[in-house]
Amino acid sequence: MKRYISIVVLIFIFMVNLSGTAMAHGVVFEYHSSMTYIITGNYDDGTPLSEAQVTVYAPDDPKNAWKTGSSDDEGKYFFTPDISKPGIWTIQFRKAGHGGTVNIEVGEESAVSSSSAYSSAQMAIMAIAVIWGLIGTALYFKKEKK
Amino acid sequence: MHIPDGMLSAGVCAAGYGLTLLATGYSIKKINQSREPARDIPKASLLTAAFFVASLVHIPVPPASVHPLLNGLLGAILGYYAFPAILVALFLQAVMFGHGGITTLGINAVIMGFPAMVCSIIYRRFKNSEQSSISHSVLSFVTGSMGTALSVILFVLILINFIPANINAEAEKIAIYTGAAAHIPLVIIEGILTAFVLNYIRKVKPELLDTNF
Repeated sequence: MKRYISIVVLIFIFMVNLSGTAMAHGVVFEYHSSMTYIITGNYDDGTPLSEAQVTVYAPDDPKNAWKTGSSDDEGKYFFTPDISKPGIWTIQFRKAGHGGTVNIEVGEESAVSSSSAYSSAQMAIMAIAVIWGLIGTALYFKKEKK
Repeated sequence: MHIPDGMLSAGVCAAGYGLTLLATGYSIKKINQSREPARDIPKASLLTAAFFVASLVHIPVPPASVHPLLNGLLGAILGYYAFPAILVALFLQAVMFGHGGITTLGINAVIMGFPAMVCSIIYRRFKNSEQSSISHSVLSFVTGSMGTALSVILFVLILINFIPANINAEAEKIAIYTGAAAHIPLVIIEGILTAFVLNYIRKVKPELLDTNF
């Protein structure tokens, strides 16, 4: 009988040790989704809008800043919206009166990426079109005079 | 130098439009009182084009870059046409390139147009057909430099006095002063450019500098 009792005690001690070891290596996982936009501000000559003051406005309060921060040396600002507030978020860059505003839609149809920059070719075409119009105006009035 | 949308409060933008309306109305009234109101339209149109494209020319002044304004030159050549010409060019720059903005069009016209009007008065007050080339060069240099310098001063005064409450005012002021300092070389460049252009016109086609008012 004593032998059986000894065996049961040994098994119990072994199990306690085993479970204790397992608990010491336990890992608990949790996960949350997070959406971060990298917003890059550049002057139109390509220079980064570095160290600009950045103000974020949430869709439910467009008057008061939801968060403030600043862009890094490369003109980048990492924006993580509160996904419980769907709608259009407004992010404003400002440095010495220069800067601009970006509107990002967050929700079921979240914006993925976008750029407001024109290509050099687009800029050139627009400039030529306007200059042509102004030269045309000048020639028209010059002809009228004659 | 162009203030974009969203940088100033609605009240400041409205005040800018009010001043622009007054200046445009005054300029148009003076143009209509001239001997031939339509005579200078070709000249104004071509200089509007020059002002329009000038904002695409980037002059690197580390750590920033600046672009020519040409408002002193426009004031000297166009007289009362200068303000409406600058207003049209600013509108085109805002809608085509996003330089400046629609809500800030009035205040930008004040920043660049009012100095042009001052330059026009000074250039016409001191210019005469008998002055030497050197004297005319100095006058032209001062006119061109003054246009840019006055614009920078107006730009700084408006921004410093209307910084929004939700941003770091000290950091913004430092950035504004740094940006203004970057325009000092441009003040000199504009003076030289204006002196060169006005001297050239005076030699080859002096009637372009004649007033119609």
